[in-house]
Amino acid sequence: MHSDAPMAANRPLRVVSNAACVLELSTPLSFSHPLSRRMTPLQKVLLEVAHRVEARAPELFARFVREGGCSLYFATALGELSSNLGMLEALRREELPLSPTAFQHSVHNCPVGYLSILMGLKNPIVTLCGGLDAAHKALTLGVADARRSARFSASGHASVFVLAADELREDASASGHLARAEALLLETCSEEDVEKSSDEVFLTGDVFLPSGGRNDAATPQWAWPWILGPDSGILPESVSRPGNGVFPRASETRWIFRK
Amino acid sequence: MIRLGSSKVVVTEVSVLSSLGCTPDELVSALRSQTRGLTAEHRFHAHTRGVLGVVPSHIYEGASARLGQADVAGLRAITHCLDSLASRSGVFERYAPERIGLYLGTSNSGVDSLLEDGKWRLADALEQALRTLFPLRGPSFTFCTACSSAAHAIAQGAFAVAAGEADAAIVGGIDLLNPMAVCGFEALQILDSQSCRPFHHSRAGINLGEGGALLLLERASAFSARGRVLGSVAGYGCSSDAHHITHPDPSGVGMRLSMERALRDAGIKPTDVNYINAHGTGTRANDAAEALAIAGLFGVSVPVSSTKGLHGHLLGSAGALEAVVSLLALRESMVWAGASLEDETYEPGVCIPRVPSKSLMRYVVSNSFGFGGNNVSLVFGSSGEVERAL
Repeated sequence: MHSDAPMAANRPLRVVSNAACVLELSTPLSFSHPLSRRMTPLQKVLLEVAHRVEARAPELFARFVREGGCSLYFATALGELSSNLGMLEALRREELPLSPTAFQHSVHNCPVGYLSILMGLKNPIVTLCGGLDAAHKALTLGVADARRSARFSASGHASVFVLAADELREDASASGHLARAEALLLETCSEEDVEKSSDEVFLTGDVFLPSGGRNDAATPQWAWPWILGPDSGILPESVSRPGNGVFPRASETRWIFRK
Repeated sequence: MIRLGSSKVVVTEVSVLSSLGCTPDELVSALRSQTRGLTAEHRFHAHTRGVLGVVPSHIYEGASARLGQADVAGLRAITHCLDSLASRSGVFERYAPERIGLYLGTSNSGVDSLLEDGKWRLADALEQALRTLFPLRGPSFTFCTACSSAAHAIAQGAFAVAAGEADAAIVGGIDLLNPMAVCGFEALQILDSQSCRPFHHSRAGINLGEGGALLLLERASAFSARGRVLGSVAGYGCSSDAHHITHPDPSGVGMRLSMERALRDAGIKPTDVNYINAHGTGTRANDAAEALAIAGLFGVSVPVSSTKGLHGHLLGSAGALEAVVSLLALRESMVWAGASLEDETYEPGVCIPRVPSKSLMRYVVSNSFGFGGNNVSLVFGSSGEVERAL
């Protein structure tokens, strides 16, 4: 058995802009588009957090995402759950043909596909089914992408846009919540940048490499793995997130968000 | 974007599952003879009158005590493939479990049994099950971008090996057909009831298929240890059409961007490419756009074929099987052709071979374009190119 490879450099990343949203029926949307009338809650909540991220840092969003063409990493654990369950029920009842719109929406990358269409983004987009660890897996791959890309860029700099979203099941929420999403725009930086800053959020630490096996499916009571969370804003102090209970062993998680 | 072209990630072993065969040699034999694996004799008669590319039923039928509570048809199929890959490569003997990555692509894994006993079966169910059945403790991910899923899995696995996040990566995907997929495509009215004819002027849609492939990726230093490799993962390009959720941008701009980025990542020119294994689904929209994109970037000098007319469209795992088709083209020094047709009138501007033919092979481009306008192009390099670079 051998391992002869150099490890990827663990450059810190700055959180340029972030947003999180729990979508309710009454949530005002910050975007408007003719297509949005027919969009599902999952598609709407993802568009909403993406627009909020852009609104909080419009110049950097333009530079990194719209003009810079950075990659987007999107993860969803359950995808368009209602659409898929509806189609399975229609099949069970032999109510054919299926809805072509519902089938189009059944692919996991449909929400981020609509995001690319409505925001006009031709960037590389990678969609994962992250299972129970959706948001964290998107972050893992996105950070790895940015660190690798920085090594090969002339400027030594790279950025990445990480998003995650999931629909909420009716039986999991009695409060009218429909879906939730989180998005972070990250750029590589230096240790010096981290030391000099006093009010920004940085991500340091190793890429998370899950080493435990898991063979159970999610229950409706599963707690969605927020990264920074809906009301995080800027973290008040240096924190090390040991894991949120979703991972097999809490000590596996090695993200460190520090102010 | 990482430069795969300079990173020398090689493919040392593959396993396949398709209507054309369940070993690389069976696949080569079928490709050489342009055998069609599509048939009207399948298990979805209640859902479609069309032909499908189905895998032998013994692969996924029958209970397996080894799989326990996770025993589903898709897991039986992918376990069969991974057993084959592992026994031929010795990957689990040569690497520590935490140094082997697992990168899978799927379009419908788990969807047909979403809710069972109050628990949800997630689309990464196969990934999680394999991690408990095999000594796989390294990074693992499941990609779900419809028809480009497995291509993403191959690229991300290559990145991980190149960057040292894993010493070896098992990449690819296996998708079995299910009623929702068949009925869904019927609802879209893009299935051809006859055998599909990619790029042909009379094409009328898709034939669905099932199966896929798994590939073992290692660093090029494995070449000297193993004595042979199938080829290298030399380049990756990805783009989004930003046009329509199912229809490709008719101008082919996004598809061309994907191929351009792949060539740039590989550090090669269009004239260095000897064969393009197209996405070529057989729909009027895809094939027209893809032909425009290829003609604009490569001209008419590079032969282009889609083998979906032989094995069907494997959806999420299409990129995996077609990666193996591309690698076998490099190994055999063959340009593959699609199904043989009497009327040889194809989309203008692209060079479609009528029969397979011998050719000097250095690089092959493989395209996978998915719903949502997600475009992925991979460049594979020959074993000779790997040897020259070492």
